[in-house]
Amino acid sequence: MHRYVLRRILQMVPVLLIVSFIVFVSVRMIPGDPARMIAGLEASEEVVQNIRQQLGLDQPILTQYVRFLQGLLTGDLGTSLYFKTPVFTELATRLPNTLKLAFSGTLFAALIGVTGGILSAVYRGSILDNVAIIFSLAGVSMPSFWLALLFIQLFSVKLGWLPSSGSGTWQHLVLPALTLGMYGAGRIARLTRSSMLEVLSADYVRTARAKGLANYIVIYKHAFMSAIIPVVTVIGLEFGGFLGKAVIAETVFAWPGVARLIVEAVLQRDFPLIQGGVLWLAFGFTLINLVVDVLYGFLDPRIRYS
Amino acid sequence: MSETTVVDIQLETSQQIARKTRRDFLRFLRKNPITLVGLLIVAAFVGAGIFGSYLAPYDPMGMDLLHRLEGPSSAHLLGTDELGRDILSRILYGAQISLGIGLLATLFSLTAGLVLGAVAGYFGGWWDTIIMRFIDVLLSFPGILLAILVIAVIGTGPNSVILAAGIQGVPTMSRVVRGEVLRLKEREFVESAQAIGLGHWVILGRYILYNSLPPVIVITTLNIGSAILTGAALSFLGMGVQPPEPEWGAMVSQGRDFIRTVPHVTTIPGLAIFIVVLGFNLLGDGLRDYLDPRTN
Repeated sequence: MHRYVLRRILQMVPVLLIVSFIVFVSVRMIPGDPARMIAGLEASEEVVQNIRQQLGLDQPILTQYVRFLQGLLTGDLGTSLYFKTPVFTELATRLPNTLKLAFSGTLFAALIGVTGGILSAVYRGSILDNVAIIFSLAGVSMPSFWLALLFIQLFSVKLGWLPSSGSGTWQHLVLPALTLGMYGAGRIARLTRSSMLEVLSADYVRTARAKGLANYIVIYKHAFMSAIIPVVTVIGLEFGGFLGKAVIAETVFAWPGVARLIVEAVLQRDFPLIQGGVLWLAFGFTLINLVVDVLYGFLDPRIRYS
Repeated sequence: MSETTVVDIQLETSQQIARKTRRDFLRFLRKNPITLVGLLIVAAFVGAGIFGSYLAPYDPMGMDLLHRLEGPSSAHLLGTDELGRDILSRILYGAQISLGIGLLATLFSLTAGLVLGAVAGYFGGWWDTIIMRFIDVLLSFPGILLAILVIAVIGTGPNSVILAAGIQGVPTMSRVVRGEVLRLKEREFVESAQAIGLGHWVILGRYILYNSLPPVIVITTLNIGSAILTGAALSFLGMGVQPPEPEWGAMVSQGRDFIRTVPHVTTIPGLAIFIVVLGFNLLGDGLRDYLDPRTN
């Protein structure tokens, strides 16, 4: 087990290095001169050249990359061209919001998905099952920005229950989290359903039934407890994926998170901010996937890592 | 034993096989009305993409400031937008854009996925390690983030969207192709092909990839749906096809300001995206049941 974890971490290092290199090179391929952007359009060539030297932009690209990696390790991601503040600070103030949103979204997705999947499996072939199947298919086919706007129309405009943008109270969190959660709910429901169906036809469940146990005990204690293991993994992976999928929810609901910051940075051509933001989310996503993989081994003793 | 038994072998002609396949598929559609619905949606969408410019009652860019933000009427079946443009005409023209983005992006991921998956699975070893680590790198960007990075580098516009949405489909396709190649390359017919000295590429193309078509067709269908979604999302964020082009995601974004008073300006283009993607997903799921019953 320890060796497996260690190997996974070691495997992760080259992937993260390549990711950082790709992001680094991509950002440098964006048309436009950052030194000129900092200096302003009226600045003389001499001033621009000075800034270029300060930022190390006159160095060979590999030297720049090594410096960038050193900065990455010490938390120095450069200065945002737009905000004129350290990129690290900008990201650090917004990351808790994105995590909060991703976590609540996962909670919604898990609640809706697992409940729907269990009901679907237990009442297989019923109207309820078909409704759940249609819902889960609709969930993956819907453009999330459209769903978000429908939520605003219903809950903010018509009913006036929830605010349509901003942050601060728990009410602000509900609609973006629901939008995000719908992404995963369908997938989780489908997986829960098939996992439950598999377990419900297993011998030990039939034995439990034969013993005369009440139906709900069989379903909860015997079937659900083992059917849920693969589902937990997918829930974990959804959480990681939400870091990137939060882009739409954060943009529509003006939620001050990292994903929306990246969109703004792209539109503003704020190179250091794009670089830092994309790297943070990609690294976070990779780390969460690793943790989920390792946890899976603890949850399911049948899995032996080789 | 003077009698010789005549064994009557009937070889089917390819026409007969085609007819039989068609009959099988029609029977499958009759039993699976949901798949039929998916197929009809896709057909209608393709029809709109091809003939939309002839069917549209108005010029999609034609402004009419006297009739702004009107609800559905007999003159404008789906109403008008903030510049008085006919929404139905814009939806019909927009089908071409979304269909073009969906198909070309999927063509990109199909080509890249076939090459990467086939090489990784067939040649194995270092090829496999390098290609699969590369796929891991692509998969390290959560959600739409990779597409956004691509747009940041190459700029907005339809071609950028095709590339950005296309790259997003590469990991799934490569993995599916690789899995199929790994499964098929141990089979006897591949060994016989190797034994008679056929070249690697002939074996890969004629024997392995040909036999892995069923799952590839399924993933391709589903990929078209997700490419359309990614494209629409990028345009919604202002990073894809730019207004005044009648791209559905951009139309939703532009109508946002009027969501409190005239919601149909955003609801209708969003509904169009939803129905089309649903169509491809229904068709893809149906094809999976039909072509590849194993996976269900």
